[in-house]
Amino acid sequence: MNSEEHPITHETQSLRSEGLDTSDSAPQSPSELEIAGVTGLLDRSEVQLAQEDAYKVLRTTQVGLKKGDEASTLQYSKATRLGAYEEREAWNGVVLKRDGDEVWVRLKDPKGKKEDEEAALSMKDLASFDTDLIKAGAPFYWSVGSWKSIIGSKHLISNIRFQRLPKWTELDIERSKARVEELKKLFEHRVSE
Amino acid sequence: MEPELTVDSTSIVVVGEFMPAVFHPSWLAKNNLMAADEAENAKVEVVHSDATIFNTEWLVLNVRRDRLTATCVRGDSNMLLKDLIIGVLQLFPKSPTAAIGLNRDLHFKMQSEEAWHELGHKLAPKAPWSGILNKPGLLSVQIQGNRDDGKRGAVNVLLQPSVKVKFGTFVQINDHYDLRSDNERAPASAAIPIVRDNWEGSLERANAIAREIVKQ
Repeated sequence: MNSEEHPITHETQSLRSEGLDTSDSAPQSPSELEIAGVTGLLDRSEVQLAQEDAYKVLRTTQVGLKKGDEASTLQYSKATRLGAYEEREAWNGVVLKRDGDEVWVRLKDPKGKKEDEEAALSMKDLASFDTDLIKAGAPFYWSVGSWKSIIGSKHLISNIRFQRLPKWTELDIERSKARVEELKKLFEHRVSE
Repeated sequence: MEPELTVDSTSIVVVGEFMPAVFHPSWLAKNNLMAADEAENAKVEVVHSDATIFNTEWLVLNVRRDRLTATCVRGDSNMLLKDLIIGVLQLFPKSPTAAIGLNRDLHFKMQSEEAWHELGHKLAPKAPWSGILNKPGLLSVQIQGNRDDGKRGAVNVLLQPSVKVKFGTFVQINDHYDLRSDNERAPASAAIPIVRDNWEGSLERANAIAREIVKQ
């Protein structure tokens, strides 16, 4: 047993929207439902379905929507988006140069087990919305594998996506200011010598 | 034959203070955390001062005043999730943050109904319940392990019958980092190295833990 308390940093297994009747009034919280299940008020499958329903009602209540509006709030959990991805190869890449339709890259094994490789990619193989990021020095991820949906369809996937991070952040600005101050002091010190 | 991994998703949860209305897809695009086309095509469920929820091809973002949950529904995009969270933390480096969780949710299809029941009996033997309950069954079991990296927090494992897969087992691994010190929350910037240095390892470990449990 472990009695130490931590804030919860995960979500419950309650993100399914198919086939639920949201018109019933739902208990206040999933934890109450668990208690209800344990004390035999509901059978196990009813507990699960009601937990999901309660979660939806809680979420939609928090955002001030009517119950009738909530059907689309969990679109992502529809069967077509549920599945498992099996990665066969992955590389962390960096752009060396862009030459017309060709992009020369260096590929690194993220686990460090293989030698670095250089390759030429065609712009056609890259996501069109990443075009503005494709320049020398740009880091990217390349994952190759297969996706099997919960309903059984299987797709081969080769996904290349470029790293996106904020251009200028508060931290960067503070660091720059601190560096300016450092250099200023150094310069003043040398002048006084 | 081993249980088959049927549904797999990952998420990062940051517990702290947020302004949900800020997290519109176009704001993420403006700050270079999302491509403009992705932001334009995002399905926005709600943008409100209490909660923002939207999803894209690979991401579900749910921001409330006290927590941000980013879920990656495609395993080929887990690195994008990592960058998104690091980017958000960089944009609000001083925001008070209590904890961060690196999570993986896995649903396994068991080999048979018998194998499914057998796992439940192994993890929660029914002998102590004999004569107390009629046909007792495992509904949920949660085990907490100490961290072995010297950081504050815990590794939480939750196992339940799957609600998505028939005769399936759901395993959730919560790699939990507590950022508080003397009950004081840390600046969000303290969470950046945790995500940057541990994300891939955490996902691999979660996969190994879950597979080890379900093949018992």
